[in-house]
Amino acid sequence: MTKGRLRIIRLAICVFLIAAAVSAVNAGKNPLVKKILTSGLQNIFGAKAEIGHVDLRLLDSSLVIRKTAVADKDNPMQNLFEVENAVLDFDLVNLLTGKFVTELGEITGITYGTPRSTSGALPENEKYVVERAVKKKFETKRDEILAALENKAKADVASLLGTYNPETFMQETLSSLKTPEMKDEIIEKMHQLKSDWKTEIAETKNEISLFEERLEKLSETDLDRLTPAAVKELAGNVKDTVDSVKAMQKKAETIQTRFTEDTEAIRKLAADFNASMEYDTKFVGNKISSIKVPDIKDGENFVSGYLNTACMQLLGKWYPVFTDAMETAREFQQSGKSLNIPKKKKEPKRLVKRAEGRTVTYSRKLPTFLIKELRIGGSAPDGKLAAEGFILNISNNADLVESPVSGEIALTRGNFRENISFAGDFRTEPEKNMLEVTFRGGSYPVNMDGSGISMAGKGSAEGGIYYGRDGKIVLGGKLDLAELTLASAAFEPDFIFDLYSRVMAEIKSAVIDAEMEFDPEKELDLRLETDIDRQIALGLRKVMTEEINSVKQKLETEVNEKLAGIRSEFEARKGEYELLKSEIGRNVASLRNLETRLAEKQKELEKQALKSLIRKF
Amino acid sequence: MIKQLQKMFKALNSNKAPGELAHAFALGMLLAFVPKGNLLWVILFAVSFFLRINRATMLLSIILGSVFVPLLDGVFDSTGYAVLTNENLVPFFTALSEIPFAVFTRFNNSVVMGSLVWGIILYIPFLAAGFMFVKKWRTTLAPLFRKSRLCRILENIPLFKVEKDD
Repeated sequence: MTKGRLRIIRLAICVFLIAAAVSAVNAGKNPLVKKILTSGLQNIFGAKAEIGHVDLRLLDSSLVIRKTAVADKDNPMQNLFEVENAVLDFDLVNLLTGKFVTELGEITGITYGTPRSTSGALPENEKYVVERAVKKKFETKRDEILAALENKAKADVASLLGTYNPETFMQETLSSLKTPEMKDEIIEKMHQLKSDWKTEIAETKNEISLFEERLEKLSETDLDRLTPAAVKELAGNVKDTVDSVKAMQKKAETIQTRFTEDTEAIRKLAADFNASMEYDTKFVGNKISSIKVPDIKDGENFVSGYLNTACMQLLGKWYPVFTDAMETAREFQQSGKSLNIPKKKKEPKRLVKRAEGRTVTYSRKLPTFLIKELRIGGSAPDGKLAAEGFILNISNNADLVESPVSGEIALTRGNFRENISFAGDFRTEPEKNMLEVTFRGGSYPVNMDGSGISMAGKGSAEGGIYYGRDGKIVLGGKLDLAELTLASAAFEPDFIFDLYSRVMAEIKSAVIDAEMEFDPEKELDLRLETDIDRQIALGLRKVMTEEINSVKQKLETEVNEKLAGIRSEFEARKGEYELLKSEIGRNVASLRNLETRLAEKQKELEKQALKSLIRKF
Repeated sequence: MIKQLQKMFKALNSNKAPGELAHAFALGMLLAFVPKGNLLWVILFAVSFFLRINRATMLLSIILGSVFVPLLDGVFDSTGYAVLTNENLVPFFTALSEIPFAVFTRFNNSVVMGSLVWGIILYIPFLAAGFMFVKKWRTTLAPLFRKSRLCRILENIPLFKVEKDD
């Protein structure tokens, strides 16, 4: 019997052995993949990673990973994120050549910040020590700048507004008036004159009364009973009386002259007083017109100085996250590119060496790790987070993919919606920045509490992160605020603080545009622009104009009232003096009148004496 | 190798089917043509285990062929490249490249493809040559060889002592 060319039994045994080998691989592949993935995640995130279940189906070309938890390296008792389910439909052909290429991946059930029962810290290595040193350098610079910004902000506001204090101004102006001082001097002088003249008037009146009494006595002399001695005495009395009259007349002249002199002095004082009043009125007028609304320009820094500190804190918080992500991405890229460098293999010594030949490829050369599209979706069980989005071209060698990794993620956190789009061009010759991330979100509750300024409201934000080829990192953000409540910590002087607070209370919306640039070789630089400064400048100009007009009016009124009071007092004193004038005039007239009356009395006496002589004879 | 030579001579001198020797020679030449270290060569080699052929002859053919095959690499390269880049065949090769494990055959290498093509083309001529040689050996060459001085020398060397067929 002729045997066939094929050895059936051998073939059957071989098929059986292959099947057994495949079964063995199938049984051991999942623990192996789990170990590889766990190790990879730990390398990327620098903390412990745990995977609940891995199911690699080679025939279906799918990888299912369930219950993945990665710890937060900065907070080991908390997970950075957890993924409930991840499904990757990979390409087995590429996988067999050592390339993990996935057309589509889906990650669902993402949660973050969940507590851990065990610590997720890994033993430290040199890499983390270096990373920490760079972060420390950044934080030191940030703190230095924060301190400088805070001091500058305080100085800026104080220097702009600190000189305008109406109370001080009012006190200074009122204390500079000359009239009140002069008034006291004049009043004192007038008081003295008035007292002197009152005494004089009383004395004169008394003298006139005495003279009148003497005159009455003369009138009552009984000439019929006059003895020669009495006549002699009468003649002496008359002579004394005449002398007294003469003296009084002289006194009257003196009083007249003195009073005229005093009146002239009073007139001079009044003239001086009027001049002083005029001077003070003019002085106050000049002072009032010298009060100007401060030249508050739109570009002045009121709030931005304080906001700088808040923004620096906010942006500074994100910087380490960004640098971590960039470092990881770069390492990942480097790992992929290094695979392309042909390794020098030890050529086995062969007697016969075959030609290398040419390799014809029928598909594009792909990197060793590529996920063409990764869809992210899911929400946390507590509803705190829902994410939906996609990432394209995740690879460890962007040069081979020929396009940057890009994606869009829409996050819903409670009532807040955020959209993040990014493009990371890790190619050797990128077209744009190495990384660009733009962020848009709305309806955030904003609570900024910088030192000196507190801000609350709702805001929609737009932001961006740019990482240039030169290693320069720019983090920028624009915050559009509504339903804004601005408040400032109290400062001196109170007047300015009141104005400042009033203006701030009027601001209900604002835009803050901040940009932070960090160049590891140079300095950390923060630029901040906000229309709050412009709004405050506008508001301050308005309220300060109102306030200064009010101060002017108040000052004018107060000074006028004060001067009017002084004038009134002066006029009253002058009036009192004027009253003395008439009294003095009457006294002088009375004194002058005494001679006439004496002459009359003398004539009467002579007439009586003649009659008495006639009767005697 | 000496053992393989012994086995080959034993088979040549026995009444074994000439096809076993001729196929072994042709397959050996094919394996000699195709560069080693790829799945294609392994598959072809593995196939030999399931075929009723004289493996000693095959192994000697491989060794023999491997000595001069590098001289033909230029031809293999140009032929293989022409085949791989043939527009009509590109869709086939593209589909083939998408089959798991196919890439390990290195079919897309010009020398591998060229050597395979030439190996297949020359399989029948080699097979015919094998048949002719076995026939010639058994009728003409074997008696001459036995009478030759070389045979006598070899017979005196214990390693080369050929067991005579019954």
